[in-house]
Amino acid sequence: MRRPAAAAALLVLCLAACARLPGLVPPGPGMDLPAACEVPLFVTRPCRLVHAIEAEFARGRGGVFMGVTVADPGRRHLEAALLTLEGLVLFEARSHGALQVQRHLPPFDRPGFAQGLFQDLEMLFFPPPEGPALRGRLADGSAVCRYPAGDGTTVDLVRPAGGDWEIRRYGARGRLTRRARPCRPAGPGPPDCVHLEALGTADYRLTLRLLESEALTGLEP
Amino acid sequence: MTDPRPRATHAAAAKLRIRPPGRRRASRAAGLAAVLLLLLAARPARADWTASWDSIQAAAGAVQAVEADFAQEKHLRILSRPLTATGRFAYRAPDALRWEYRTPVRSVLLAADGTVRRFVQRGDALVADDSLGMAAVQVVVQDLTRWLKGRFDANPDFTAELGAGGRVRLTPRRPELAAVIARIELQLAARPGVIETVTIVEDDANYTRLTFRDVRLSDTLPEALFRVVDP
Repeated sequence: MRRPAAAAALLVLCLAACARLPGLVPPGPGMDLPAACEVPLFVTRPCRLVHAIEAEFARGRGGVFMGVTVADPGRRHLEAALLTLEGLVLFEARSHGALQVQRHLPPFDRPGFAQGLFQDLEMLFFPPPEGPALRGRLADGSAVCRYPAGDGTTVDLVRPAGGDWEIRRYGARGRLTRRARPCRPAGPGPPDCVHLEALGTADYRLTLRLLESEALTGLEP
Repeated sequence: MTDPRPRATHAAAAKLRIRPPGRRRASRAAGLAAVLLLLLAARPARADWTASWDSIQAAAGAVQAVEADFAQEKHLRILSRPLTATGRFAYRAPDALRWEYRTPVRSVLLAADGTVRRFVQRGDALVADDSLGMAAVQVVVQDLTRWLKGRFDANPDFTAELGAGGRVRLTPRRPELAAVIARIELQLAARPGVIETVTIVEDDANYTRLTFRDVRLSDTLPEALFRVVDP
């Protein structure tokens, strides 16, 4: 019994140690790369978005919530609230440089939840702050714009061959930690439904259905 | 009988379109009497049934079944205009309840014989919801049925105050609960046994207001309404 357990532990260790970013084939002369760096989900001006969020957590638990997001891409400011369908505010926070949590009820009071939520929102609605460090193709032919971040994580904006778009985030060790994509072929405009999948230690799957979108002017400084 | 006031007063009053003082007093008194009569005519039902907890419980206790549409407005610090939801509810004494949201996300809560089930729209289907929020939902159902029976003072977690004009204010006793809900305000309708609005205040900027419309009282409602999602 000890040998299989040791082998499994070794395999897990090896997978963790050996995980690395998928390699990119740089675009050679005459190699046409589509506009992988443009994801129609990113907001281009200050706006308020209201989503119905279907959540699936580990062990089959889940729920449906309402999410309100105020996003200002120019200043990279975000505000967010999570509510029950009955209107009770479960979580409310803003990120204006620093993250300020105004309200958090269980289970949304767990350490790291607020940071994780705002990282997800930033990944979904804001393009990476700097231009891509790399462009190329994955082995399956998908076009990729790659954005390494200062904390060791990496975001790939992916255009699968013949498909729609995907946003993938990799951890510091190169393991895929988040994947976002439209629920169905979305066309060129902003999608009205997005799947967000958290992989690895955070294990959840969200479906965000857009209910309302409002352009904002004169946001508070 | 001659008017002792100088003619100049009448002339000036006519210019300014002001009635002479004597007539003004008389018309004010008549106006007051009319308003008083109107108030007396309008108030008896509300004054009768909302005068005390006992009279409220007596009036609400006489209600066997009620159905109404509702509009829910969620006011949030980060919203310029409220989030709105609409739905319908049905109650049959002593504890059968159906609470249904129709927009923007359909959900149906069914409570009968002490069992509470909720179904929520996921994609194109209504699916059973065993989410993290079900414990809170059961508490809400318990409170709703208490209110519909006129037992606003029955929840030991809240202090209930009955104000003038059928206003009920529930204030949490424990600080842990007050951190979640600052207070609940209910406005009773003129019609005995009927609630007009419920306002759940979370803090100064965040509150939810439910307004009930087209309230229909009856002797009973079909069993299926409380047991089947689409009766």
